[in-house]
Amino acid sequence: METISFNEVREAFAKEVLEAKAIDDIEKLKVKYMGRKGVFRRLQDGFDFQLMSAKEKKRFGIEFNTLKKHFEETLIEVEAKLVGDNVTLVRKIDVSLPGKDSRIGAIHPVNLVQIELEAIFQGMGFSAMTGPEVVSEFNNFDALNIPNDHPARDMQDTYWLKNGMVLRTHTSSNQVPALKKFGAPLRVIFPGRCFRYENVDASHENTFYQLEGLMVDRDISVAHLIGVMKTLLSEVFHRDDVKIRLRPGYFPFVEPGFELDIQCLLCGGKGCLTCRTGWIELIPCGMVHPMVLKHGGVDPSKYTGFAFGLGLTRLAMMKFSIPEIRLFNCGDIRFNSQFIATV
Amino acid sequence: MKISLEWLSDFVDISGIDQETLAERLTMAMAEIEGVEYLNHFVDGILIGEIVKCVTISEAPIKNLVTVECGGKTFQSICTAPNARVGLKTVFAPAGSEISNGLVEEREIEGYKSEGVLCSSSELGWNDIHEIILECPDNIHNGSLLSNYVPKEDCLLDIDNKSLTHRPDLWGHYGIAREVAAILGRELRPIEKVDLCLFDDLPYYPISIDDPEDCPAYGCIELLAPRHSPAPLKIQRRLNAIGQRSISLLVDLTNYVMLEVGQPLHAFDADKLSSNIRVGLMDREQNFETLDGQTRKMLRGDLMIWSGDCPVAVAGVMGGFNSAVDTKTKKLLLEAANFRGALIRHTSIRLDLRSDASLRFEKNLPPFFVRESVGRFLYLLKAAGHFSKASSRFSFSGSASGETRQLTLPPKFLSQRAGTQLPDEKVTNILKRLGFQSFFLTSGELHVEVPPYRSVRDISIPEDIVEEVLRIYGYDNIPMRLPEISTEPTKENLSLSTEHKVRRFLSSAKRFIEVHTYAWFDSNWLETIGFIPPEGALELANPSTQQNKILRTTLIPNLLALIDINKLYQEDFRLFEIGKIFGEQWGDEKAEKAEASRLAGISFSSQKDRNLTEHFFEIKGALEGAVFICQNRNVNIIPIDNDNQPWQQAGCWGKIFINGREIGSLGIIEQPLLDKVVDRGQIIWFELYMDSVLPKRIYPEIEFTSISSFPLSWHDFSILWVADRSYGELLSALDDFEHTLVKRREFLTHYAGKGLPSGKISYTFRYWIGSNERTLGSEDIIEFRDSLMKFLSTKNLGLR
Repeated sequence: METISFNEVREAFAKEVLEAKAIDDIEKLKVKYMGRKGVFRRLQDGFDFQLMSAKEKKRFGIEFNTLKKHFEETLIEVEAKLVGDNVTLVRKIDVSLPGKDSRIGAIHPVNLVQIELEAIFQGMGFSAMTGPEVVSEFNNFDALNIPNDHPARDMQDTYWLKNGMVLRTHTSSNQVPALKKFGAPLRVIFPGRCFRYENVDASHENTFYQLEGLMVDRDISVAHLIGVMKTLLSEVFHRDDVKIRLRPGYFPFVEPGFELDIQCLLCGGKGCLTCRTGWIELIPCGMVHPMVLKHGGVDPSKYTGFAFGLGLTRLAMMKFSIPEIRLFNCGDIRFNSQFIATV
Repeated sequence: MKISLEWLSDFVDISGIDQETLAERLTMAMAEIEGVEYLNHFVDGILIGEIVKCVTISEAPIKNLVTVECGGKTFQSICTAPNARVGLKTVFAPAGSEISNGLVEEREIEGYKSEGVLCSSSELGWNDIHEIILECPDNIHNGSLLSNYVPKEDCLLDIDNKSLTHRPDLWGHYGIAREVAAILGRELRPIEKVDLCLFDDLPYYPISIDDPEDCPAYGCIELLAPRHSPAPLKIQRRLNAIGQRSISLLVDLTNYVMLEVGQPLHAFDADKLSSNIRVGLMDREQNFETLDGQTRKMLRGDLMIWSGDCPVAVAGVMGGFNSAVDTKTKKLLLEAANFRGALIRHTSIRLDLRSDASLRFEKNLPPFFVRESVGRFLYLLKAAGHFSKASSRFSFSGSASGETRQLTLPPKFLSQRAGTQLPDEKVTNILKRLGFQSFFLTSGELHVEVPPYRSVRDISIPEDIVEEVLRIYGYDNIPMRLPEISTEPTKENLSLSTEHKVRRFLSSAKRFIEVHTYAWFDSNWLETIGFIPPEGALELANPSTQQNKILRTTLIPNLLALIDINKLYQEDFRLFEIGKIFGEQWGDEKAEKAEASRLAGISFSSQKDRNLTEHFFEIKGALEGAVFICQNRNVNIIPIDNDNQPWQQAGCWGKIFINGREIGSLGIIEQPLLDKVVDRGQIIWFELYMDSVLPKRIYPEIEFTSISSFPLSWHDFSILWVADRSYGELLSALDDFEHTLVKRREFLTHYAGKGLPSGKISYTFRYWIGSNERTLGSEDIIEFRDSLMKFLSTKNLGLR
C-alpha cells in the first residue's frame, strides 16, 4: 500500500483550500479528506499499527489528530467566510408556507348580487324592505289589480296554501303594504324570494329571487323611469355605455307597462348567440297603476310612480355565467363555495 | 300566433319596408315579434285542371292513371292520392315546371306516360301534407294559372301569444293590420262585410242568456247550408301558411274569419236544434259527446250552449256531436258569441281541449266582433259563390253592445306622464291613426272616444291612453331624466342589515358556506330522520310533489340532507342558511304573517383525528360571535337533558339565551340519528331566531369606560365544581359575587382527572382587581381574597 506522508497531505490541502471559491468546493474537500473513503481514512489505513511501538503510535496519534483538527478548523473558517460572502442570512422561518385558517367561506351568489344592488339603490335614496313570503291572496293579486279570473291565480301557476294564503309569486306583493305603511313620497326596493308553480329543469325553478323597486312621488314620469333604470344598469354592469330601450309589455299593476331591454354587452348590439337580436329582455317595469296607489291609500291624482322588477337569480346567472338555474337551491358546495365572501 | 304578410296586405300597404324592419317596429310599438319566417311557393307554369278520366291501374298501394283537362289541353299522369276522382278540379304541374320535389319531367311509369304531377299542398310548398291532392272550387276555369290565385312568396311574423293576453283585438290579421297602419302611418282599408241589416225582415232566432256575466253577447243567423265544396284557393293557401289544414268551405271559412277578425265562429246543423238557443251553466255532472266523437265529462258550472233541454256545445270550446254539421246538412245556424274568458279557460284546460277558439275566448273578446265576424263570414261565402239564402235575421242577445266609449284626460296629463312635452296635434294624430277620435277642450282636457274593438279591460282609464300615445310616439323619443334629488334619508332596515352582518361574519370570518334550500320539507327525509313537523305547520294545497307539501318549520332538516351529497367532495365543511320558516305559531293577529326568520348552520367533519369537543367549541365560538356582532352580550347556553327534536338529543344539546330570552339552540348529533344522516363523521348544528337577536340600532351605542391609571393585579383561583353540573351553572353561581375591586373575571381552563376529589372538576378563573383611585396595597388584596373565600364557602364551593 502506498503510504502518504502528513506533509504531503498538508501541502496538498493548503493548496486546495486556497482554490476553494464556493461552499460546494468546501463540501467536496470535506468528502475528500474527512469522508469514509477520504484521505484521513486512507492515512490511517496506510499504517500498520501492529508494527509500531507505543511511542510511535502516540506520536502518530498526536500528529494525526492535530492535522485533522487543523483541517476541520480551516474548513469551518473558510466555509464561514464563503457563507459570509454569499448569504447574508440563514432563514429562521419559511414565510412562504401557507398561513393558518386563511380560508374564507362563501356567500350565496343571489345574496352577493342582492348586497351589491342594495348598496347601489341606497345610494340612489331607496330604502329596502323584504316582506313576508307567505302572503294573502289580496296582497299578491287583488291589491295589484290582477283580476279574479287571471290565469296567474290558477293552481298551475301559483302555490296555494291550504289556509288560502299563497307563496308570493313576485315581490310586488310588497307594493301595497309598503304604500300603506310609508305613504308617499316613497322610494323603496323589495329584495326577496318568490315562488311559482313550475317544473324544475335547467332553466326553470319554482323558487327564485327578485328585487322589485317602487318610486312614488309628485310628477314621476316615464322619463324618470328611463333615467333611473339607465343609471342603475350602468352601476350594475360597471359601464357607462349601457343602452336600454323600452317597449310595450303588459302587467296588470302598471299602466303603461314596459319590457326594458338592455343592449347585449357581449356583442354590443350586433346580435350574437346569447342575445340573437342584439337586445336582452331584462326588466319588466311600468308606471304604477292608479288602482294600486288607491289600494295603498295614496291619491293617484296627486302622486304617480314607477315600479320595476329585477330578477336577482337571473342577474346572478348573467353576472357569474351560471348556466343552470337549479344550481341555486341544490346546496352543492362545489357550486356554493365558488362565491367567495368578499363583499 | 302567426301573421301572414300577404294576408295583411289585403288591409294595409306594407310595400317599401323590409320584413325585419316591420317586425322590429311592431316589437317596439305593439308586442314582441319572436321570429320572421319566409315562405316560397311553387306557382310558375302550374295550372288548374279537371280530372276527366281516372283509371285504377293498381290497388294497394293505389295508383290511378289520370287524365287532366287544362283548358283545351289534356295531360296524363299517374296519381297515388286517394282523393283523385273524375270531376275533381285540382292543381297540375306539367313537365318543365318546378315543385318542391324538384323539376317536373315527363316520365314513363310502369309503361304509362306521365306528363306531369297532380299536386298536394306539400308539393306547392304550402305545408307538409302530401297524402292528398289539392281540391279547388268548381268556379275556377280549367287551364287557369295557379299564379292568379296564390302568391309566389309570403312571410310570417311569429308573435308571442303571452304578449297579446291583454289585447283581444289583436288575435286576428285585421287587428294587426290596424296596428301596422297606425305604426307606419298608412291607410287602413276597411274589411268588407255583408250588411246584416239586410236580413232584418226575417224572423228572430230565439236566444236566451241565463247570466249576461257569463255571456255578454250572443249572435246567430240561420242560413241555407252551402253545397259541400273546397274553399277558394287563396283562403286554402293562407290557412295552410299559418299552419291550419284546409277541410271544406264551411270549416275553412269559419277558421278564416277567426284568424282575420279574431272572433271564433261555430256552425250548428240547424235541423238538429230545437229552434232556440240558450246559454247557461251545466247544473249537474253529465257526459257529453263533442264533435270529435269523444265523450267528455261535463261538470256543474261548465258553460254550455243549449237547445231545448239539450246541451249542444261546450261554449267556446267545442261543438256537440248531436248538432254537428255533416254532408246532409241543409240549414246552418252560424254562431258568433262572447263568453266570460275565465269560464272558457277552466273548462278547456280541464278537458285538455285548448283550441284556437278557446285561446281567443279566454282573452275576453270585444263584443263588437260578434256582428263583424258574421258580416265578414257572409261576405266571404258570397264571394265564393255559395251564399244562397238566410232563414233568420241576424239575431243578437246580450248586454254588451259595441259602441264607442268616452274618456276625458285632465290637462297636461299625457306630457306629465311622459316627462316630456307632447304637442297637442301630434297626440290627436296618433290617436286618430289608432282609431281613437280625440280633441282638446279649451280647458286643456283631452276628450277621447275609444273604438269598440278595443276591449274594456284594455282601455278604460286615462293611463291607458298614455300607453297608446307613447308607444306610437316611440319610447325612444322620450329623453331620460333623473328625479329631483330628495335629501330625505333612507329608512334603516334593521333585520336586513343584521342578516347581512351575520352572513358576512360567518362566511368571511368563520369559513361557512351559505346555501339556500327549498321552503318546504321533504317528507321522506323527515321520516328517515324521525322528525314530525309541529302542529300549525303550513301545508300547500297544490305541492309539486306530495312529499314536498309541508312548509319548513325549522331549517335544520334541509341542511342535514346536504351532508350526504357533499361529503364526497370535502371531508370537512360548514354550511349556513338564513331563511324563512313557516307556521301558524309565527302568525300575527291580522293573519298577514305566518313566518319567522332563522339562521341555521351545520358543521361536518369526517377527518379521522378531529376532536369532537374541539370541533363543537369552534362552532359554538362562531355562533357566539354571530350573536355578539348583533350587539348582544351575555349569551348563555344551558344544557338540556331531554330529547326534543331528533337532532336535539339528551345531553348533546343546549338552548341559547340572551338575558334570559331563548334565541335558539345548538348541539352535536349522536347515534342513532348520526347513522341515518351520514355513515361516518361528526355533525355540529345550530339554529338561531333571527328576529330575537336584532339590535336596537344598526350602529352600536358604545359607552366608553375610563381607563384606570393605576395598575390592575390578577389572582387565579381553581374552583371545584360538581362534575354533573354545567359550567354555565357555576358561572351563574359566581355571578352573585360582587366586590368593588373586581374589574373583570376571566375563564382560563378546566381540569378533570387525577388529584381531584371524585365527582369534581376544577375550573380556573382569573380575577382582575384594581381601583381607579389608587394603587392597591397588600391589605386590599387580602381583603379581596377573604371576601371571595367567604363567598365561595356560602356557595359550598372549595378551591382545588
